Amino acid sequence: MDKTENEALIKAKVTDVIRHAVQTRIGDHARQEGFQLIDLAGTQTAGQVLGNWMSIILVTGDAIRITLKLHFAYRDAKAISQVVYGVKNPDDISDTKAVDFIKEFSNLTAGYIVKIFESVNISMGISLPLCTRGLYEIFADYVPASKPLIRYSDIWRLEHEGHFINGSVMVEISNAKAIEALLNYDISDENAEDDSEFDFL
Amino acid sequence: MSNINQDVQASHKIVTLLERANSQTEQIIDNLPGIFLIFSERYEVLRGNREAAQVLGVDTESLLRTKVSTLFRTDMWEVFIQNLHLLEMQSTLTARFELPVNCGQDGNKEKPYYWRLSKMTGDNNAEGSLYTLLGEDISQLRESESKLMNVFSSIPLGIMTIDEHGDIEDTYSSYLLYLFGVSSISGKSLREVVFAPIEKDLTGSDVQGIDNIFVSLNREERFFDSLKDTFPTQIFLYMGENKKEGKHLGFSYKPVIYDGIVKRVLIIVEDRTTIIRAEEDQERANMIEKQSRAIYESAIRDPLTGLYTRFYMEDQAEALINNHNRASISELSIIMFDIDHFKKINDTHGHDAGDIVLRQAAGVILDQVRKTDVPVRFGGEEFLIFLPATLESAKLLAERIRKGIESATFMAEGVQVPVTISGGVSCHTAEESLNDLIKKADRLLYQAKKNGRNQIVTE
Repeated sequence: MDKTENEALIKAKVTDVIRHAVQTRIGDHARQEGFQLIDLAGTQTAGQVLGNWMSIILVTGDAIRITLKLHFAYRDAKAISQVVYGVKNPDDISDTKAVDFIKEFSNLTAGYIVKIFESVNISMGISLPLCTRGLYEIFADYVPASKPLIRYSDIWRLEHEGHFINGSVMVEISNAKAIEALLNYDISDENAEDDSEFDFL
Repeated sequence: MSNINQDVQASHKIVTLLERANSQTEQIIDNLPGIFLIFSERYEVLRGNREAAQVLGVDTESLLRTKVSTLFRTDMWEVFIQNLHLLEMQSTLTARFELPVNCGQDGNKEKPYYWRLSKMTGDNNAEGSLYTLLGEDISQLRESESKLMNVFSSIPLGIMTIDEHGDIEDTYSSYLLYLFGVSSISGKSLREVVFAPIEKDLTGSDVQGIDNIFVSLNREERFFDSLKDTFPTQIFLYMGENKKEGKHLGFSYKPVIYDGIVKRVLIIVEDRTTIIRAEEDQERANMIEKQSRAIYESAIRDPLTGLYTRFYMEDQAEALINNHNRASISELSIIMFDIDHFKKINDTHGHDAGDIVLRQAAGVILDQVRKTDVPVRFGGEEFLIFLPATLESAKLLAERIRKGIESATFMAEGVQVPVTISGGVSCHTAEESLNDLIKKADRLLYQAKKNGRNQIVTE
């Protein structure tokens, strides 16, 4: 396998892991089924304003840094969190609670990604989720201090009954060799337990 | 713990603070007054405040990615596009323009807005060039202006400004058109509109004053002030030869200063025609009154002696008699004088000498009588005095006058002329007529003459 093929495999695996984490965590967190993850690659550009609000969380280790951004509107966050908050009308949920729901979703997703990486002995940590809006979103593109070996972005949309959350992910791999261990991880095994410990920073 | 994780931990607090700061900043933006939009070079809204959503009839969250062109009427959007091009072509930092907004549910209601369109510095890789649009609702300002203009229009004053070239710039009252008898004045020269029609009537100092107005423009305020008093403050303006329809216009001048230089002059024009015509009418009335008084005086005063005439006497004496009859006055007496040998004086020294004697004798009488007495030249050299006083008082007065004349020096043609006077004194009795009273005094005077003249005979 040459270097390019290896990089492609690593990118695909990291992407799968993140998307898998997002899909599974949203179902659990929202206590609802039927979320669909739709690929937006090619239709959107990383750095674009994809929502009125943006939750950003950093998943980072010595070998890889993942910036996960969730872009949303109040009305969608409220509709998706309706079951969790036990209300019939999404408008009964306050704006603050809607933001908290997404921040917690960011947190859970990041934690789940960490678990998967640690299951293949790749040490990772996560930041606190930051929720912001306005022009900060435009300038939220992370510019790495040191040049990573592999850098790519992924954009998708989580849809549920007409409501959606957009996601954009920036992945920077500084040690591809260390990440190769992830290639052996089988998502279908679901061996990363939700309640296991992880390094929460 | 890895180094990277240490970095992340260290940034947690900063992240929390940033989130709070961002939240506050965004709330400020949410509540910005007026319409605030940020949009991309694809004219898609990236951020808008609450008022923007409210005025433009869009849900706040739906503003994101809304095409700006859909928020405005086509003709209005074209103005925005023109200004966007202006920003690009001329590297202008901010384009400013006024444009109404169609607001409300049906979009039929328009409100005037003042817009500031700016290009943000630095492009963004994902969104390209970014623009900010700030719209300020100036409907209240326009309403206030309108009210103010109504006030200006309703007061009988013409208010205008001239620019640094002496051309009429802003006019604040359509009344000006009426005052100057023209259909439009904006952009025209002050000299052309106001002073040219009456050029031939202007004096040298008027012309100099008018020139000084224009000389003082674009100069320091001190220079303006030094010439201000020479500016014409009143003119009579008329069209063609029709002076009858002319107007007296008063002018006052107030400099508008920019950086110490007179860039404009505020001119207030007042139609003083009514006031001046009223003043002229008043002057005419005063003249007539003066003439009437002179005529009246000549009717009641004997021009030679200054004593009252018989014409005046009849009214005044009758009034005194009536007052006495009604007991408004307790006593009423009469003195009748006649200059002794007056015919001889005339014959010897001439009529001019006679006139001098008459005037001088009358002067003695006028010196002695009170304001309430009525001294009359009854005819020729005869005098009467009606006085609201007792017979005794009348006698004393008559005696003082006689002595006064006797002791006075009368000069005629350089020669001293001895003059004496005889008098009869009587008092009015109830219901006695004026004629009877005079006759009674005349009889007493005759008695005095008969007794040897230069004496007073009392009843």
